[in-house]
Parts: sequence; C-alpha cells; structure tokens
Amino acid sequence: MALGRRATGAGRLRAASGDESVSSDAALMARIAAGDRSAFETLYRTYHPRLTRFLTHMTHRPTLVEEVLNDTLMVVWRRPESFNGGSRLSTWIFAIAYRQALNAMRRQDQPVEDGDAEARPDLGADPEQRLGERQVKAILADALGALSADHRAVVDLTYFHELGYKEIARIMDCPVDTVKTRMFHARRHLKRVLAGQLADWV
Amino acid sequence: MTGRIIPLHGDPHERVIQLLPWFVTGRLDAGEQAEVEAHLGVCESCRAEERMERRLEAEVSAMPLAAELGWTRMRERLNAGPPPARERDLGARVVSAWRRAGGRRGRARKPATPRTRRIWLGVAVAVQAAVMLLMLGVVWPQVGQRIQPGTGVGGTATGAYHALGASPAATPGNALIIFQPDTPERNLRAALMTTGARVVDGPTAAGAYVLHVPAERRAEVLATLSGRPDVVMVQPIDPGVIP
Repeated sequence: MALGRRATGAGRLRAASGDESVSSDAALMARIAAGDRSAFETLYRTYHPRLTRFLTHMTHRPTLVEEVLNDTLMVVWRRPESFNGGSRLSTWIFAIAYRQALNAMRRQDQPVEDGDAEARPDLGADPEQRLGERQVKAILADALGALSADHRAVVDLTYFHELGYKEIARIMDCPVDTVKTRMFHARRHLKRVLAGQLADWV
Repeated sequence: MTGRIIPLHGDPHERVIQLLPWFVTGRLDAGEQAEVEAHLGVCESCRAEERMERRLEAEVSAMPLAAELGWTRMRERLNAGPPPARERDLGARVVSAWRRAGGRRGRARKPATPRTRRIWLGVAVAVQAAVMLLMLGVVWPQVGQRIQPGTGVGGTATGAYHALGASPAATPGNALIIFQPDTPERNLRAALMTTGARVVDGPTAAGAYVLHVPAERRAEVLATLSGRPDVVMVQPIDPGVIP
C-alpha cells in the first residue's frame, strides 16, 4: 500500500492527477492535521524528489535546496489547515516551495525577477563552436542558469512536472499571461543558445 | 468545431506558439488543444516550431538532477586547492575494493576510457566515500539502536521516528547508487519502483543517492539494479564494506 502511494508520487505530477489522487491527498492531509507523523513521513518522501528538482533548478543554489525543502514541508506539518482543498495538494505545496525559495534567495541577494529577458544576449558569440566544445546538456544547464529564477521555475514546472499554465499561475500567484510570456522568452533564449543543435532537430 | 479560435493578440501564430509548451505536454484544455491542432494543420512554420518544442521539452525534462550544478561547484572546490590526502586515499581504497569485487559488469572490461571520464569518476568515488563515512559513522549506530533484527529498516513495528527537525541525512539507508549522468528521470523512477527501493538522501555533488531497500531482499535488489545499463555503480552500505 505504502509502496503504491510512493510509486504514484514519485512520478511526474500528471501521474498523480485524478479523483483517486485527490481523495488520497485529502486523506493524507487529514492524517497530518491529526498529528500522524507516519503520514507526514509518507508525504515527505513523496514530495522530496520533485521538490528537490524544482528548487534546484529554480534557485540554482544546491546549498539552499535542502533548507528550503525542509522549510516548505515544515509549513505543511505546522499549518495543514491552510490547505483548504481549493487546489490540488501538489499545487499548494509547490506554491509554498516557490515562496520559500523566493524568500531564501532574497536573503542571499539573488536576483529573482528578470527585467532584461527580451534583451538577453547570447551566451557566446559562436553557439556552434560552444556546442562543439561541450555537451548539449551542459549548455542547456548554462542557458537555464542565465535565466531568472522566475523563468526557470516556469520552465521546470512546464517541462518536467508537466503542469498547465493555469496551475503554474496559481503556484506563482501571477496572471496566466505572465506565465505564457515567461515561457515564451525562456524558450526563445534556450533556442537561441542551442541554435546549432536545434537545426538538427527539425 | 469549438468556436474558440479567437486570437487574443491579433496573431494566431503568436497565440499558438505561446500554447505549444502545454500542447506538447498535453496540458491544454480541449478547446485550446483543438485550436492548436487546427492551426498546425495549415501552418508549416508552426509545425516546425512544434517539432522543436518537443525536442526542447525532451532535453530539458531529461536533464540529470543538478549534475551540472553539482559538478560546477565541485570543480570550484578542486580549483581552490588539492583535496585532502585522506580523501584521495579513501577514494583509491573504494575504487580498489570495487574493482576487486568485479565492479560493474562490462564496464571494467571496456578499453581505456577518456581521461576526463576517469577524473570525473575519481571525484564521484571520493564524494561517495565521504557519504559512506557519514553513513557508517553517524547513521549506522542510530540504525542499530532503533532497528531490531528481522525488522525492515524504517518499519513501523517499533513506532520510532526521527524528530521532524532532523536532517534527512540521518534517515537510515542501506545502499548507495550512482546512475549514468544522462539517465532520464523516468528510468530512475522505474528502477526504484520495480525494486521497492527508496531514495533517502542525495544526490550528492557527484550524483550519488543513498537508498533504502528492504533488508531481507537487499542482495536480490542490488543485483537487479546492478544489471541495469543506466546504473554506474550500486553497493550496500554496511560496517565492513570498506576494507
């Protein structure tokens, strides 16, 4: 039983969607609200991999991730009543994680918003040469690193966690058009950096 | 068909391109999905964008978890000065023990690997050794106190739990695994799901994970994981493993 629960939670968020998941989420949160530590441990282990990935890519500061992750899930443990069922449990938890990450990055004076997304220059003068020197994934990591935390959050929530733009807007507490715009600029930047490689993709 | 093809920005191309990320991940509602499909049916340039989008999505979602970030930070540390002598020695001992045990099937028989790969592996093993020291010196005594023989680690029979503020590094683990750096998340997930293994810590800067596998099936599970092509190394964490 417990394994099945973990198996569902370990995958992308789409795998945890549906009525059955919603009801099990509600049951889990009811147990947590009653102080059931085993239920909390189940939730911790379920969300640890996904939050680790999201926070790592959003903050680009591995040393921050564990602290923010634990702060996030401590909010779940201490204030379970603030989950009112108005959204999916995963949306609520990711929204907490997003806010905790913003706060942590601001404490470290890391830039969060990005007013220069449209005018961002290429990472290098010769993308093809760069591709010849390093692997695509390394360049992707660099390209993502050049984005703001908000842009990286949208990219990760869209591509890896496979959330819809409306759900991402709820997590980031912003208009849906802002999500679309951030994704548009992030993709344009990634495609520009990967220009040589992208020519082989189509 | 849906009556919802209303370009919000005056340009159907722009609207469709903005929706493509969620089109390729299947997260649009039915009306938007139909709108994008209809447009792609008549627009070659947007179909090219769609192909590019699918590849970009695949590349980003398959990125190894923080491997590049971890390696960048490790490289900074290496550049700052030579590693402590005991770290190199212990790394060499672990590599030596691993090779004596046969290492990963097939890998040891491969011809000379690129120098950069050997360097990377050396760093990985050194970091892994540090994790093993942590596990052996800090976690295992706690496990020995909490877990009775015959009871699965983390089992509920004893009813004992860590304090909530405790670091996850103190969660009991009994195996260490390193996946290939480019292993897709879905493969990693499948490896854990099919064997019942759980990640209790990691990744380290070198991408190693500490696993908890059912104690009574550990040998079988580790053998299964060792046979996967995307697993670089897997080994038990117990007192006595390091010679």
